[in-house]
Amino acid sequence: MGNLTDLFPAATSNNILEVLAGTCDGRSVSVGSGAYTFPNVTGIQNISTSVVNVTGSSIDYVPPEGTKYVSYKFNTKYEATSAGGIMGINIVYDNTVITQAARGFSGNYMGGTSHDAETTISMEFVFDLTVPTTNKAAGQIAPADWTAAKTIKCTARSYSSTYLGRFHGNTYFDGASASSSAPYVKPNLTITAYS
Amino acid sequence: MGNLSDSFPAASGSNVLEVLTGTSDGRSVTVKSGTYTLENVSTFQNLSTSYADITGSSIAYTPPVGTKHLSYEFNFMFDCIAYSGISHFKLMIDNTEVIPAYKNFASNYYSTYHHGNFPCSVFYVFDLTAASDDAANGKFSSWTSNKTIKVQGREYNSSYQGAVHYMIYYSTVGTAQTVRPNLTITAYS
Repeated sequence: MGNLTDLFPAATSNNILEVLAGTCDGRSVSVGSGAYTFPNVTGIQNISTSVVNVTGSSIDYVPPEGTKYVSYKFNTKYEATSAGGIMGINIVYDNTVITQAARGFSGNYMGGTSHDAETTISMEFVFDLTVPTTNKAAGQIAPADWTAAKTIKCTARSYSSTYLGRFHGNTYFDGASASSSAPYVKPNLTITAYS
Repeated sequence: MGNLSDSFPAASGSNVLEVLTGTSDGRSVTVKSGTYTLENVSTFQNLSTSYADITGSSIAYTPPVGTKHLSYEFNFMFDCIAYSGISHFKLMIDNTEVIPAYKNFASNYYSTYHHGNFPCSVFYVFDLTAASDDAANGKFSSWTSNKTIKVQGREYNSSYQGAVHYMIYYSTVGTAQTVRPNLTITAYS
């Protein structure tokens, strides 16, 4: 007979309570805190000068018990579609903009016609659940205030009607201009709860 | 006296089964599912107008038992060599393209200046809970032996040129340097 610890090993773990990760194709993923359905992104999203939700970025999430930090990471493609394509993006928690998470993206300006710029972007923020009182704009959430699902998402707008951008697109494809049948990009969303 | 399991509780962890991560410098990394040797990227890679494997991106991987979702993340530097450097990248698994992962990178266009140089990533989460295999959409019902995941890239044409693993400006000095990419595979239950 071996040692008792061979049969009942001490728990080994790290400070990750759960990771909810998926490509935004409508899939359902079950983790410790529940079952979640990812958004299904089915095309390119052009961004005007009005603030809109970024498709694929929204998740209604409740962290598992004992969570001290929640990381939100949204990864997709950005493109300039006119002039420098200046774009402003926010992370929004429960309808409140997280001030420190704001990001601006743009390509170099080269007149109104040449706007090839496109790259991956990642919107990330780590919420702090170790605080006694909630300050949503700072991303500080008292644990007692996050016991039911809260919506985390990204919003965006273009700088002006002459500096426009879009998400999830590929303008060029295999050495040619992308046709309407060219594959768009499905974004990826990753939520990590840490103890 | 309480139950034995009170003193020796079953291990409880997160839904992360393993993380295989490393810089592509030829290192060997041992995780639960085995030992993997990452590629050794020693120089930058100029793209051509034909698709070629992006150095550092390839891994033959078998997920551990119980894996339901598997994320692949390849982070690299992209540089515009000529014009806006329009370049195309596709994710491959066992030589099948994962269509929703296709990415095109470029800076804005200028005929003589091509300063665009920035980090890029190819990121996809494979779904191993599917009823049947659909490699073109990254869905599998079973994955019990090595599958090779990699990224392939090409430039738009011979006038719009790109390179990877390349940093043209370093500090205040215009000295080109090779930047090794990073590869991370995470298996989730």
